[in-house]
Amino acid sequence: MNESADQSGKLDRLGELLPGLIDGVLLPAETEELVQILRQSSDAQSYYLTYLQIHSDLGSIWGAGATVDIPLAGNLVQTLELAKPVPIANLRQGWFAGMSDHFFGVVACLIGIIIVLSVAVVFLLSGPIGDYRDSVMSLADAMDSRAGKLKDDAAGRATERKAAWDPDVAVVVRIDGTVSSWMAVGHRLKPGRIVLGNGSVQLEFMSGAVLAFAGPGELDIHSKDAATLISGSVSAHVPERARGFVLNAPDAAIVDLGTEFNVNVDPNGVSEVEVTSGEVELSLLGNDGNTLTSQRLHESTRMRVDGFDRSLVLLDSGGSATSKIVAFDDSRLPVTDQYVDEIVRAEPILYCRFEGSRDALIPNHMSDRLALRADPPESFHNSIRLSSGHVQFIRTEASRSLVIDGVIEDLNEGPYSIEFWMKPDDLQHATCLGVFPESRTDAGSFINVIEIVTDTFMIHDPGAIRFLHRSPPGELFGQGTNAFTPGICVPGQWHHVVAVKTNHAMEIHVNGQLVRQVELKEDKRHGPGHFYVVLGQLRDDWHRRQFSGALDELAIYKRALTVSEVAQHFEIIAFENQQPTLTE
Amino acid sequence: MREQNTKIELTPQWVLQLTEAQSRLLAFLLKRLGSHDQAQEVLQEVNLVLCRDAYKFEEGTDFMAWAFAIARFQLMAFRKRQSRDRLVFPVDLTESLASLDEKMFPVEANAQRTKTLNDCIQKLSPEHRTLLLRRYAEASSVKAIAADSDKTANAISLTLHRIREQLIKCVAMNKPTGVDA
Repeated sequence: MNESADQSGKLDRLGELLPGLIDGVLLPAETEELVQILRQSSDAQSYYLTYLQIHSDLGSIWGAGATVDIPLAGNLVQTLELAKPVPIANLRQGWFAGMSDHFFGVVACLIGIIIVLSVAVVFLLSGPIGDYRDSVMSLADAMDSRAGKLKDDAAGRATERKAAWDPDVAVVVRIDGTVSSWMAVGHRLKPGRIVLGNGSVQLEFMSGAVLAFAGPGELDIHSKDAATLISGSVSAHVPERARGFVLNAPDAAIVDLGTEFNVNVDPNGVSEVEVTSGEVELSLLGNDGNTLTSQRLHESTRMRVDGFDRSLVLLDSGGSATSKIVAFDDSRLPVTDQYVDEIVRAEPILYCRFEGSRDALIPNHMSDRLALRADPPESFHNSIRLSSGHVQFIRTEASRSLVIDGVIEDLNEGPYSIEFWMKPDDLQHATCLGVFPESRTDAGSFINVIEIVTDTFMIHDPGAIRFLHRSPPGELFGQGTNAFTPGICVPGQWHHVVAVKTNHAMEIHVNGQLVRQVELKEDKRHGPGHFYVVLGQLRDDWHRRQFSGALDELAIYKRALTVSEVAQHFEIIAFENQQPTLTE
Repeated sequence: MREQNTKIELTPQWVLQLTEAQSRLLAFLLKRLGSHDQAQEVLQEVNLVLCRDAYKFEEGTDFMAWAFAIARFQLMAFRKRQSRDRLVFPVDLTESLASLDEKMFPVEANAQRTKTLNDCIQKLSPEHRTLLLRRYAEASSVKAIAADSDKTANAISLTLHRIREQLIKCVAMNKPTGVDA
């Protein structure tokens, strides 16, 4: 084939692919073909751009192609709650009173758009954009519980999810390979079915179980404690707190007894189970769905479940699982000089950057006082490590924490703010930071904790971030005031967390957004005393609530940061560090 | 302390500008991402920032230029967040397309191009104009149009493709001298 015929052939093929791109129905192989054609020919690039430009211009002329997809992402989750047909004047009543004009303006902006475009939205529900309204991403999306469907990867079929009031039972923490774009890291899952064409996803269940699911295959998620692998491959890691997690396979049920195991179900429905650590109880199920026979499988045991012969067959160990649980990397928080300058300009009394240590002390960037030290000292470099410019906490049986060397005087006599970045390893109930009175004698005596909350007796989303203010602090497990985030944090992802106590309220900001503000009763706002700060656990008592993961850029201010200051700090790192070279 | 007590001046004109920008922003993102889903995803974020930072927009300045600047930012943020294998276009291709796009379709030529396109639409058959209206004015999906017209989605998609090709030729032939697009 000569060169011009080849070129013409490519343009023809491009013409076949582009309508699919516009309509959002390109298959992965076609997408790959599109990339190859565009890489090989500048004429193809010109045609591609011209074609999409016409599509854009047609949309502009008639407007409906230009429907505003209202930003319903979870980092405006409060806006979602408020974007009901409520008179705008009423929005400033209740807990919303006192919120900044800026935030109120955003709410008003969105409501305005909703009103102006209500007709367009009607079209949107049946139009091509409507098919993608549950696409989500990052923390913002982790906080978004509005998604109504789980989508099939390859064919775009949708499996209806159960009712919106069903609890979120798992969160996507990692994606490898090509999976449907609705499934972004941070996407929360309700009971339902995941269908993967290719690629793999790693899910953390709210019970603590972690499943790596590799396609092609189908996985039914029943609850935070149970799932059924219909086909494909799953590797499971079940920590102690999730003991009893059940993974079903055709004709079999695997009850975890504190372990790691792999399950493969081939297209014929034949299952193989291999225990890589610990042990499981493997049941062969009868026609009635009850256990016909069961066997305890120990480490390095591999067994096939033959549903046809109703038998369990012992195999040589060492099967090759296609799914694999991947530990989170040690990625550095991309802190810029501008960010550091901005924090310093905001005049915190403590700013720990975790870049290094001197005489076993992690220095305070703002002064020679209030450095951090490990308690006990031998935990430093062991279960508390400095690496990649942050501090990494490793969960252990023994107590370990970072404590400020000295006290913050009169911290609770007025407003203050606590700002840091965190990357949790999991959603286990864990205290990132606590503020304790100098005179404290027990773990229940604090004025603040900032923690990840899961499986508590309180009402909140599992995996939410909690800011508790308890003033005066002297009461053991006494009454405090909570501000829970309306969504969850995502294991393996950096989050910007800022807790602010103002003169009348407490606020929690996540990733630059004020996500909850709670009024403080007059007698619960301020109090006297000197305080110290503990990082990494609640400390000392048997129930330590150890945090596992990374913390960075801790700053404590003796004033309330404003909404725009918090947003600006977040944006400096989130947006001003975006270089294409970092992307690839 | 900065930007305290800043109020958003939410005017119908501002909302209209945002509405009118949607199609162009979506195309801007689609061209650079090569994925309809991802373009929609980033567009949501762009809208979020446009709303949140509305108070930063100076009345009388170019709204589209401001919106595109935010879209560029959000695009970079998105690409950085995604694992490499989830991105459709590699960075070199995205950069090449972005550079070519800015040369071929400068923002200042939008109005003229739209005018030419309007003229070209008038030359289409009534059936084709009706089909465009359904697709673009009503934002109907190809599937929905096919169901209503008793044709297959492939047939509708092919017809729309031919109409777009016709319009591309027409716009190119009627391009005013000195305008690159």
